[in-house]
Amino acid sequence: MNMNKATAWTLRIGIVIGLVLIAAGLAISDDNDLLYWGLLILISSPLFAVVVTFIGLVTEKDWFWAGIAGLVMAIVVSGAVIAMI
Amino acid sequence: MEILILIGLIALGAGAGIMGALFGLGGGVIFVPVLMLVFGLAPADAAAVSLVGIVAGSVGASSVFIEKGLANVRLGLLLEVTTTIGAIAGAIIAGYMEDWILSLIFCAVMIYSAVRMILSPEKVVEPKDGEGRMCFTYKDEANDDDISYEVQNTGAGGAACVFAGMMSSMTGVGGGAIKVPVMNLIMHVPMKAASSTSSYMIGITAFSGAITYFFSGHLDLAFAGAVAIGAFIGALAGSYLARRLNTKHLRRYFSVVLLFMSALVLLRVGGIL
Repeated sequence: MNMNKATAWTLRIGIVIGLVLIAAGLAISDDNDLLYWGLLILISSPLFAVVVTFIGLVTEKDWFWAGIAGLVMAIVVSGAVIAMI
Repeated sequence: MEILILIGLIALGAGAGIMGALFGLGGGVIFVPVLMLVFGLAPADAAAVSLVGIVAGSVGASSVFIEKGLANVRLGLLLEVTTTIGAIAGAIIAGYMEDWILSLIFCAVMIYSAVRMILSPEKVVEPKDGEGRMCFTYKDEANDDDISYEVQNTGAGGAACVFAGMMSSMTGVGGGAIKVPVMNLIMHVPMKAASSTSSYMIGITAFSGAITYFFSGHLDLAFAGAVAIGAFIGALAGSYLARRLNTKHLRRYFSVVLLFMSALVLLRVGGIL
């Protein structure tokens, strides 16, 4: 599977699992546990996708772009961690 | 949650999702005022729900665009680095500048971009030897053509994205309104690839804000969930339309949306909205 397909599938799996949990949470009179996990998976999908892109680029030995993906991953994770502190 | 509110939130998400997928815009400029004025949310709560809607729309649309080769993941990640640098700089500078000045600068850039996109034809540079770090190809489903392009002026484009990030963090309006014209007018990325790439990028940008609100407990889970469902449905519809729309029309519609967004920001500056 190439990098684009792997990234697209990561996003697809993330949003489908997230939305199924969210829909179930809304249907069961605002079940907060299902909504919590559904939203967490959905919100985290872009980060998972960047990680998969990074792995895909490393596998392809596309070092320039793997470096860029690694940098984005580091910026996004550190930004989120700093904001949460 | 009342059924009418649920339907209203799904409809709002769907509208913003279509916009996001078609034009590469997050939709925050629509989400936040509607959530505040129609659904009665406080500004911070509206911003939190809006960010989740933006992520859902981006993920839904880019899962299609990336697989079809329309969204350029490599270029998106490169510009994400410069946009983030701009966002950090913007957050520092914002404290020293008046809000209305920033908003007027933002409007001037959007109006200039819109006028240029209406008046000047799209310029796409075909790769000379077909190989190279900045050469890419996608299939245009509107006319079944393979479109090859070489990204130009990477330095100037990256610098302009620093500005996009600055404006975005200083005004609170998403950077897509600047990033799409930067990619299209400066870097000569075809409009469809530019808007799809922006659609992918806004999800990464919105992630940091959304996850912060999520863990801080300031996110209304039911509101965010309903908006996310709508945004996903809208993103799927928007990505279907975007793939089949003629590039010339897409560019023209985008210009109209930019002018509309400028008007909204000006109304906000004037205290009317």
